[in-house]
Amino acid sequence: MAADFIQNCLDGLMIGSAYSLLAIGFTLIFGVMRRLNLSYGPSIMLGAFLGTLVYLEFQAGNIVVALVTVLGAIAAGIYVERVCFWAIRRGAAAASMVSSFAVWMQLEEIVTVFFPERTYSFPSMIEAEPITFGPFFLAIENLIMFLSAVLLTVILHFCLYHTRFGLALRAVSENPRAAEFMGINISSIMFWAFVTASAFGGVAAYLIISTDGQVTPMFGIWATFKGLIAMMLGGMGSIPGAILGGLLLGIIETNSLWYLGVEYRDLAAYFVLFMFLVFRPGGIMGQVSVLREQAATRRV
Amino acid sequence: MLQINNICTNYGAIEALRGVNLDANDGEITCLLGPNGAGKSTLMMTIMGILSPREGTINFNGTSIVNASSGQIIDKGIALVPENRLVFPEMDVRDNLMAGAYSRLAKEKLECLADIDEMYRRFPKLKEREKQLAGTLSGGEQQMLAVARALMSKPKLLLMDEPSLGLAPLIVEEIFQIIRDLHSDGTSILLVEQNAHMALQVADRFCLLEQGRITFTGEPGQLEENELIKRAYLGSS
Repeated sequence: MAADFIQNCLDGLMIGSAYSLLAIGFTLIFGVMRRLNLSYGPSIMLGAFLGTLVYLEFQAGNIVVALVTVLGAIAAGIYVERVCFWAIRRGAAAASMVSSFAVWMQLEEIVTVFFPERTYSFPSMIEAEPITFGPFFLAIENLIMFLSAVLLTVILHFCLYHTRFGLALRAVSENPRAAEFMGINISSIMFWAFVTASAFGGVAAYLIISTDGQVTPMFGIWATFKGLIAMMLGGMGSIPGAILGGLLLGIIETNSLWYLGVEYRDLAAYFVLFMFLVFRPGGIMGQVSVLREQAATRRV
Repeated sequence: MLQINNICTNYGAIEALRGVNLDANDGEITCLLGPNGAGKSTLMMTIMGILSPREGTINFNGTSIVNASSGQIIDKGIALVPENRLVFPEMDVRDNLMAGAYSRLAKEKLECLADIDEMYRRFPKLKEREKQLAGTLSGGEQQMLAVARALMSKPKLLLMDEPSLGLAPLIVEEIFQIIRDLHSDGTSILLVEQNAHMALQVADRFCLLEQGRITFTGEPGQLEENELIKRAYLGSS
């Protein structure tokens, strides 16, 4: 019993690391803009379809497919940023959300028009036997997924805390007005935040889809849901929260799949999200920053 | 040093500034007094390039800064200590100071690090709090941090928007001592205040901003003589 649970948690951590990447992308955008980007999933789905295109048409190798996926996700992300955020940056936050929903539909339509067969094969990263240790085992591609996610997170952490861009990004997400007073160009920081988020999404998409071996237009809504739920579990706008939320979501899914059956997998995740929204609406990390803000204002 | 001529700025639908003329001279403390809603903060944001004026010119050391970006204006040597301090609450003190030096961070990182040490010498309290998040500092310490953060861009002219707002009298005294020290070091200051008593003790010149217009310009002594203003801003005694 205990061994099953540990194995489930291991698998959960592996898939959860990809959810974490999706949630980091969401939270970067939300943290900097205070606006929700619903077409985050669909824009990285477009990248994945470009990846599958170069694979099927030109028999491109893994590295090229990964590169095209990430670059495609970035290009689609830039399109979303210009149309839904930059163009209406002075408008209400809801306007950005609604127009990102419209662009979501648009991107999905584009993909279904150009890829009418719905399911397309995607090259897998590596063909190898899983590693076993004692009663436990790990699929190689899952391990690669996990290690890539860890590596990317470490790089992001370095960029946020040790570079000029990271300083500006944190400043804008904490107080855009004050950041402007420091001479930080908010529009350009938002643009690059979008590029970074889309790159994370592209990598997550590549890791997930190459493990599955196939891609469908439904990947967009799937990625939006997973990223959004993971972000909300962790606390909106918090990067440590996004990481924890993603891992938690992965662990909940694998365990409910094992103990309750596949039909309860998503239901269990939604149930936990519901419980969080009722009892801890700020998510795992969110509450902390709310408390800090209250403490800060009380001391004035 | 700073010449503002006939500036008109809209803030949303409101005509917040209606032809403001104001000079700030080199090495002086110019104090801008005015009631709530007179347009003081709008003027600050216009000078910093956050809001674009509908009309008028702003010259700084002979060059126009209207329609320049806030980054360009900071590079020319103006920095703002914003109203309500607006420190970055989730960043530690050191990162707040780094953010203040943002505009020159790319070119002169080493100098910036040296300047942070200089700020710690000037404000030893900030050194003690170096690793603390700015949101956990007291109001007075946050104000000190906001001043130090603005100084990190090495401004020739420092704009201060209501630095005494919401602080205890003893802390206000401390903040004004900082202003005096900066002044004696040769920094020019444009000080926006509602605390007329304190402001007039340090100001070389003062202006009165009412309903989007400058209604009085003079030296502190003249304000004491003017019954009307005295009654409105210093109390009727």
